[in-house]
Amino acid sequence: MIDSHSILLRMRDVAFALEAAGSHRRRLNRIGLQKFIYLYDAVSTLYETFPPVEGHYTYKHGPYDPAIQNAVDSLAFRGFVHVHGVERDNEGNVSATYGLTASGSNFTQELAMVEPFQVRWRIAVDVAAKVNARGWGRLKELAYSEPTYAMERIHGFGRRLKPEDRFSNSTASLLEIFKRTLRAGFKDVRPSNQVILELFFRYLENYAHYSRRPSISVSSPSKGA
Amino acid sequence: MTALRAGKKGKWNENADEAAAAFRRAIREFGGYQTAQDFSFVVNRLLYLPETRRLIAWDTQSQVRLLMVVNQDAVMEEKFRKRQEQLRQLDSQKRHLHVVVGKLEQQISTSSEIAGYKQSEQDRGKNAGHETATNLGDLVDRLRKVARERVTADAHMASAARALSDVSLEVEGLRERIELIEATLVEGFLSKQERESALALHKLAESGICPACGTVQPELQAEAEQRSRSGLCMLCGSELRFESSNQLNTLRSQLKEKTRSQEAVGVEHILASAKLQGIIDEQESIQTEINQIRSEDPSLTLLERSIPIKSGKDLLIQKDELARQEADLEGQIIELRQDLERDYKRFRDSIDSRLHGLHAAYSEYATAFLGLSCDLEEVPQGQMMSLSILVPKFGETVRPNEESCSEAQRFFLDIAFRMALIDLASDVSEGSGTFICETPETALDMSYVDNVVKMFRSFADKGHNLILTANVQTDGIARKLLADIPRTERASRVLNLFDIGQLSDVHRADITRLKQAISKTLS
Amino acid sequence: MDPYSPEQRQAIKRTVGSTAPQASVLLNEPIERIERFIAKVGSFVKSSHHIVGERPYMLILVESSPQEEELSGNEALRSLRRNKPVFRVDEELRLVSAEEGSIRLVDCGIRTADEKALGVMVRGSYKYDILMGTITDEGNVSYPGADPLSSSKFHHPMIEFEILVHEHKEKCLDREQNVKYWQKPRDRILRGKPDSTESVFHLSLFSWLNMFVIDKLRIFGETLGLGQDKTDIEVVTIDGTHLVEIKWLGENENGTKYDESTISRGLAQVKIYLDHDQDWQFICAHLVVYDGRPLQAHQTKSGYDDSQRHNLCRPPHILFLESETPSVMARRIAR
Repeated sequence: MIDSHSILLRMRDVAFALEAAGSHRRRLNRIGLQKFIYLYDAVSTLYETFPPVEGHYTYKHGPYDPAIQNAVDSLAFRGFVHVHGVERDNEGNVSATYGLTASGSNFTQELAMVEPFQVRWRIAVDVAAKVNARGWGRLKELAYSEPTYAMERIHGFGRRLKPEDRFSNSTASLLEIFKRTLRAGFKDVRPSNQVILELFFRYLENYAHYSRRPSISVSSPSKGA
Repeated sequence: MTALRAGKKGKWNENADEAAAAFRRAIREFGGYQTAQDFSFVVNRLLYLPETRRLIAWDTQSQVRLLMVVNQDAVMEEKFRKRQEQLRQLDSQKRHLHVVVGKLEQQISTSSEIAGYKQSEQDRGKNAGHETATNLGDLVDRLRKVARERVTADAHMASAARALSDVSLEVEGLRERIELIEATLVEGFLSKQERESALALHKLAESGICPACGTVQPELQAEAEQRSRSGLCMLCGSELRFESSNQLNTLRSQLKEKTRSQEAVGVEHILASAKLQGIIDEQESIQTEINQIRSEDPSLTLLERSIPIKSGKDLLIQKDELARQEADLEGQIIELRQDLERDYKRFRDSIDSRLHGLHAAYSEYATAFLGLSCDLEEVPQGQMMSLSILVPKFGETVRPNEESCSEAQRFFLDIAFRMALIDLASDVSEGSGTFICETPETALDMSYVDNVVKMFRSFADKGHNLILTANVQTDGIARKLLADIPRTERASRVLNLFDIGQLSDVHRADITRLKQAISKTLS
Repeated sequence: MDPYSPEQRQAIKRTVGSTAPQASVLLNEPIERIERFIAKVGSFVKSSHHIVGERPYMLILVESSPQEEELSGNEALRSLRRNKPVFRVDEELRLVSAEEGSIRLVDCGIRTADEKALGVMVRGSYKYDILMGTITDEGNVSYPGADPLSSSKFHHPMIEFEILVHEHKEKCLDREQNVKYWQKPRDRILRGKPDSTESVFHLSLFSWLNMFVIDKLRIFGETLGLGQDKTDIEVVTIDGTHLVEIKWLGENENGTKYDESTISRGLAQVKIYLDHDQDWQFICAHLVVYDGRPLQAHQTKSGYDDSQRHNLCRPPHILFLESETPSVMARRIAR
């Protein structure tokens, strides 16, 4: 069972994600929300903070944290989130996009000014800017390229994802490699978070290119025997 | 090789040595192979399946080598193979020593001269250096020193690992406590905004309005108020107020400090690991030198030929020393085997996502042939060391060896495996591959012909090249495969050896009927 | 830790394997601007090589100057003929000024260090990226070198450094195949001019490692000479950074002599670097010593004080420099 405190923390993260995406005139659907928050969690160590202890797992549509879906449903019920464009597909799956209500926006802005949460708001803004620069349609591909997920997904569903674990094949260790490489050969080099974040997103694009995810595979023309 | 020409406009190089060197260079630069031997291995063992039917699907060494050559950006295959060879040599040396020790023991047991002889520890110690020249003695001393350093380095690394685990637990504990406080803060802001915006839950608490149906419910209101006052969810009673925020700054400082400590301990662990690796490399290098000198020791050869040693005392000293060497070799074998197994596992882990693709491709081909679901299963194999290989699994049963399948199954599942490996290689190199098979329908009964055609067609549709040889059959694989090709192109896809080959008397006698059959195949 | 997959390694290399990210940080410039400059330099070198020939020159990145004209091959040649090989250009290679100045690598390094700038020193179709005094990349623009996927037998990871350094000696140094380092081979006197003896070996080894270290992300070479408190070569890999220090023994044409004690001094120097490594970057260090002394000295006087060796530093690689062919050596020994 998911703890109520996990859901409350995700209410914060959902609010920040929707507000940051909203600033680029984008609404996120349930899968987009999961992916965005996963990337937002993944880079948190760069800002000297951590994602929730209980976070995402591998699942059929990528990294998934059930607390995120519960949080957005609860926020919708409580009047902080609008649910737009609700549709049901042939298989009975319901899709919708989410945006903040006026109350939701007020709540988010207040939260963003509170000292422990300022840095998380900063992360959401920065990640949204990077995703926006590359195209929101690529959000899934970018999340799939995150190192922890890329390595764990092949082991099946239900695998706990810890992108903040700097001692495993993860975003945290990747960011350390970037910092170390930028510092090498010179003294007192302190690359800014913006530079490292940009490199991280370039890495995600490069990895997607080299690994040729099924969603972007191209079939070759038939040659015959 | 007698001559080489690169490109249609190039000149022929007829100097055999230069041509061979140019060929090897071309193989590396254009083919992406590390060596010409790799190229030769891939062609002969993977791409070409002759009538001798030397299968790879259950051949551990071939599978391992092919996987490594195809994924050469993940591993140095030649280095791995050389170390495997080193393992075999060590094992061989150990066996030789064992034989010699056995012979010495036999001589000792029959020798009256040394009955009751007991060598003193002091003598043994003195004679340890008796083995060979000063050079070997120096090496053994260095090895002992390095071995002591290794013990220290091992202990240091284990200690760093424990420290890292301890501090990581502390970090996680602090994170959890901070999360509880932050959750409380979030709920506080949510409630505040609900009040200010007069949202549904606030109306329930203030006015008793049910958020689901809009009716006024005093009892529900009372319950909601009571729960709210107790820091619980108005509707379900879940805990919403966890910890006060007084401690937040303190906890965050502690977390920052612990994280720094974790970082420092982590780095110490990495450096300890690097240092240990350096020591292990040095140890291996010295040990290899020692083994070399010992294996070239002429007295060993003499002993193998049963030339007797002069004195009984010498026999005992020699036997003790050789037994010690044998034990030492055993230790090296164990360590090298563990290293190789670990390296192989690391290699397999690093190409996990590619193997996923290999499984998918194999499943597609093998299932097309068998007509029932077939996949690859990993099983441990290997005599000298445990390497895992991929074998077929169908009908809920793993097929660990060739004998667990029929002849046709064995043959075509091997083909499926080859084609899946070619798919994998093509993905890695972003090119297409070629598979050459001689007379594939030899082992096949007619009920499976369509399945085999489906399998080959699936391979060709991915852009690969397929070269098959066939005997003249009226309704075999050739006719069915050619059926998909436009009639006008069919002749160009077939090399008719009856037109250019040397025919036997039997062929010549039946040439009309044979040509009719070929014509029917092409029509 | 789970090993990095080949795709991850390629992606990491592509992300941080060029000069641009680091230059962006050090110069506080957008990465895109640096990338544009480097790409434009590459195109310029390729297209102008046949005009400029082998005359060396330098391009230094300065502030954007939209009003200026883009540097052409002919303009470059005119300036070179007027003895002005230092071109100050913006990211689109628009020429701000052409100046006099030395194009020796060490002087190019000093210039970029003093000005805190990024420059590219070009000779023919070969270029060196020099960022604030450090060589951050080098290579032949026209023939960038084999992709490790289609690799040669000389490609090795850094853990096989010993093999790398021996193959470099065998293929580049022995019989001065690619590098001239003897001033008088019969007397075993090493070159010392115009560049320092050490820089001859340093640049050659740097170039070899840049080409053949299969797991490198970046490689850095120091340009400013000894005693500058900078490491000779740093090779950054995913697992950590390797430090390579280079020394030589023997005598050069300037009369400078280095004997056996240089080995221990080299080890001590490496120890200082490692002890002062506050960021814990280095996971391994190597001392490479090119021995120009007579063979007997090499065989009998190559000892060192092992207590000076840091625990991350491997035993020194002491490589004898041949000055005569094997047949000549055999005849001499036979006499």
